[in-house]
Amino acid sequence: MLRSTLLIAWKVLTRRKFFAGVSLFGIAFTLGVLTVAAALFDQVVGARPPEVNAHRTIGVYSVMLGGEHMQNNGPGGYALFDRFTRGIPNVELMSIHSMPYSVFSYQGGSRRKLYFKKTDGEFWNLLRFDFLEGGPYTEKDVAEGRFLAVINEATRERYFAGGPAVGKTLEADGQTFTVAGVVPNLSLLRFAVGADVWVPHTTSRSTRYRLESELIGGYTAFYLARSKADIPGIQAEFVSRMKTVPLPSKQYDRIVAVPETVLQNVSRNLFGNRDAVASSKPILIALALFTVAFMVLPTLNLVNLTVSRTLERSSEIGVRRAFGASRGALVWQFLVENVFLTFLGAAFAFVFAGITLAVLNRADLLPYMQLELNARVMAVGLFLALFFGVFSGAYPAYRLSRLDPVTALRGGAH
Amino acid sequence: MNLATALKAQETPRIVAAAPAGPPAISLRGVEKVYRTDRIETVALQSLNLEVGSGEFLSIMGPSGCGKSTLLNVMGLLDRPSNGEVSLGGRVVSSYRDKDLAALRNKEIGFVFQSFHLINDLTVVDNVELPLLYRTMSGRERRRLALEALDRVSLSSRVHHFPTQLSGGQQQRVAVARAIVGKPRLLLADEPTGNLDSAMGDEIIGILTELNERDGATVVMVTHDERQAAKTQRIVRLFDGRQVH
Amino acid sequence: MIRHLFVLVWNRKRTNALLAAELFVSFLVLFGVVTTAVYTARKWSLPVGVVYRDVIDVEIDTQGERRKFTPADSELFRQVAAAARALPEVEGVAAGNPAPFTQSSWRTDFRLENGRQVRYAAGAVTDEWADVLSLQVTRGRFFSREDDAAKGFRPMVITEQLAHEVFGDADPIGKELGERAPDGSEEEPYKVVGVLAAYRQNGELDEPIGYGLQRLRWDGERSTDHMLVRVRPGTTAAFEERLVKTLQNVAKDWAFRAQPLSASREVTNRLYVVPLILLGGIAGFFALMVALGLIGVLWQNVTQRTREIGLRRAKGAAAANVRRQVIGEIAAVTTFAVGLGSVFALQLPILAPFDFVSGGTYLVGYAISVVLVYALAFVCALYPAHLATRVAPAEALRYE
Repeated sequence: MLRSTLLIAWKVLTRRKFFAGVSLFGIAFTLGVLTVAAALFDQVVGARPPEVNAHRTIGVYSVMLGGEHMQNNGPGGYALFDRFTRGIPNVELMSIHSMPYSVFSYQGGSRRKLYFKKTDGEFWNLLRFDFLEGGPYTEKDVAEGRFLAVINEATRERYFAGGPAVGKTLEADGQTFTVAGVVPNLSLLRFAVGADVWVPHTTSRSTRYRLESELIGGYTAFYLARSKADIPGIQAEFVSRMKTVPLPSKQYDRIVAVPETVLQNVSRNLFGNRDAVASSKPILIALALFTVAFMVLPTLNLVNLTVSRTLERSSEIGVRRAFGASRGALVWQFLVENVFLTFLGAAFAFVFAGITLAVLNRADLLPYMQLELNARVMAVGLFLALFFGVFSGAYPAYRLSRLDPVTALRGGAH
Repeated sequence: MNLATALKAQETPRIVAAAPAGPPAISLRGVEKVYRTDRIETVALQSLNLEVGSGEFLSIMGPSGCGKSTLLNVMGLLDRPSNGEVSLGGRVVSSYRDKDLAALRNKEIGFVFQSFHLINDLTVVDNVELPLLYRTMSGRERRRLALEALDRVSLSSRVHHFPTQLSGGQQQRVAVARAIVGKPRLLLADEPTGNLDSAMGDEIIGILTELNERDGATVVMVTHDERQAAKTQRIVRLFDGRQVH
Repeated sequence: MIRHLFVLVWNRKRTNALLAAELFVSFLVLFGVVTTAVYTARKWSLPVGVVYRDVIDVEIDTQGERRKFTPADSELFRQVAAAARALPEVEGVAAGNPAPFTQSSWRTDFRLENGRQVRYAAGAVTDEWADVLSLQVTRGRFFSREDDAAKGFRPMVITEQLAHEVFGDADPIGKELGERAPDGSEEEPYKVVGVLAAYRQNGELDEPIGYGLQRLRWDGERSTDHMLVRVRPGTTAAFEERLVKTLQNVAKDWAFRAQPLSASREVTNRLYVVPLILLGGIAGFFALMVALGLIGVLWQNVTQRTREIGLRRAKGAAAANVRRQVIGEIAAVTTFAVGLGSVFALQLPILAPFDFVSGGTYLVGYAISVVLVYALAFVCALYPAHLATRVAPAEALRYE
């Protein structure tokens, strides 16, 4: 049955090359764009080294000081995390590190932008970087305020001509660091972990960031739960501790911060109640709606092409009905045919997406963007192809299956 | 060729199930069919009572537009009558849903059309297998039955050809094979010889006659051709949607 | 003829409804993209009012949040500025927030007496800002020492655009801007002291919004984190390095980042342009897809209606008549789609969900997209129409 359906689908497709070309073009382009979007999405939130424990890691990406007339929103302060969130039960590891920030470094009379990230020593335990050379600085190095740095491969290429860099010095932001280790490039889209240069937070010019009043101030904290099931408990404990934080002025009446996943954070800021732990569902629903909206025009195009060929197939439909195909069986047949078509289109879409991703990676829109068509992205692409096939096949299948068999056999479709 | 077919038929098992004695193969009671469009009402069939006995070979004749094809479609459960009752093998099917009607057509009825209606994208054997696709059965079993049916119409050598590579007569034989592959009790043929020259037409009538005589299949055939109609057991004449005697 | 066309289209309404739906969505997509393009072109053509060449933006990281400068901070900040001014390449130094071509912005709004809401962008800058950025003052004057003595009000310099939005044709100089705080708080009102020809913080592609500058005092407690340094033409990155080192020596606890405005302008423009290119690319591909699909559908329609067309030919319709009919039919369907689309599209200038896009922009975008949709439909109908004229009358009778 499936064999015969696919055979017919192939024959119908190849009978009119122009139609095949136009249909596949539309499908491949639509799925191609969505696959590229999926790759981008995967780059931001997909788990991959060094975030090997992503499923049980939560982070505080933004902190809000709220008051009746004032709101102050931004990444949290080091002191907030350091003083109030240590020792939460079931937290295996905790790390406080800054958001990446750019500094300029001058070399041979030219200016270069480097993204820095200030971290503690635990950062290197919570995240597992594959060191190309050397190793991380330790908690002890951090405590002693040693001017050590971990750099990425691109920085090693720039400053040390790709040669061994450990033990050599790097001057940036008016400070001099000794290179402790070298790690592979990491896209800055992974803003929570990526940078060019990672240095101990104690190399900051002043110790002001450790003052208790610094509740907002460019830092993120990661908490590695012992297991995924411990996350809600950790969040509850975190929220209750926030209630004990002294507020900096009378303008504010609360401090809102929750350790969460990146998606939960976006979801909370866009749709949710900002004061509570949000589920990541709203943002996923929004993305799904956006995807469907994007498919509307290609779907109409495909539906029109398919429906315009109804007459071509009326004899087949009449015969199938006469020999015992129920309407349901025909709906099924045409849906399978359409899904077959969209899967064929998906093959082209992957080629299209592969080329586009390579171009985007080279276009240097963001440093070290490594968009890739990995298994996860391909799986999303195939799922989208299935969905698109059913979505765009539903109406033609319904319409073809409702053809009156007598009319169909007479060769009329109207 | 006819003789060869006939000889072969004696050796092969009965391909069409014998009709049990008892209820008529099909009976129509007070059947009316009215087509309505925005402005006009066209009466295609009027208070028609007709009984086709099991194992009968019946011709329906009449001028163009007298409702012959409509009658055949009603008998084939492709069209619902506006009024009246249709029973197939004693079962009143008027109230059946689409799915049940489809299942009945699949098991009990085989169609042969004037313009063959073969699917040009499929090979001969795939075309013949088509009715069996809507039954649960293994692919091997389907293939076996299809080859058997093709053998019955002497087309074993053309199994993997496409319909467009065959002559009109051969195409219609493929269509007959498709109609009998599911071993239905009732064969409905709508001007099966209409697109064929007389020699080919005779051949097709020969096959239908043989299916009727040897296998006991009930055959209802719409035709314009008095010569062909004369070969059947009974002729029903229609005029303006009414049966005339 | 036209009535006949619409009857034909109506009789084939099921097929045509789908075509109309596709054209309808295409029209809306086109309208969105074209309006964005028109809006961008308009922005591009407006004066910027800022000369960004030979200006270096120094971002100052005071290491920790400082909503207010202490007297010590303020003193240090003045020393930093003085050190910059002492360098021989430097022609002028100003401080302020937000600096041009930083993606940060500050929007504020208030209600006029007639109830209309006015939204504008604001900044706080020192007296030298106008010289460093070569701002052009059209009326009144820029901030100066004489504002030190201002009593009972705070001076403000606004753009001609904002002046027009708030005061119409009346002379804005000396008038108050903004609402008085309803709770009768002590805050002094802003009073306009000068008008600028234009001031668009983020350049050509920035939202064309009215701008109001407040005065920042070197010795005030209001904090800032940007300093603009006008340098002699031809100054290189080596100077930037020297500048940063100089400043660093003055304020050891602060960090400095220096970058020419021309460099940050490039980054900022790219942020505006890349999404536009992506949007345009996708829309272009969609248009191509719709065009090809339309050709396919019309072609198929002609093939299926060989009989009808042949009959028309047999009855003596000239080839031109047949062509006109095929094109006329799709034109009728397009008219239906555009009509429906207009109901939606024309809501935008009425509802004005984006106050920075003017009604005129929508109308120009609307007009262009109407023309484009008709052009698309027409071009796509040409080949199928040509095919239709090739149908021989005899074919109609043969065709089953």
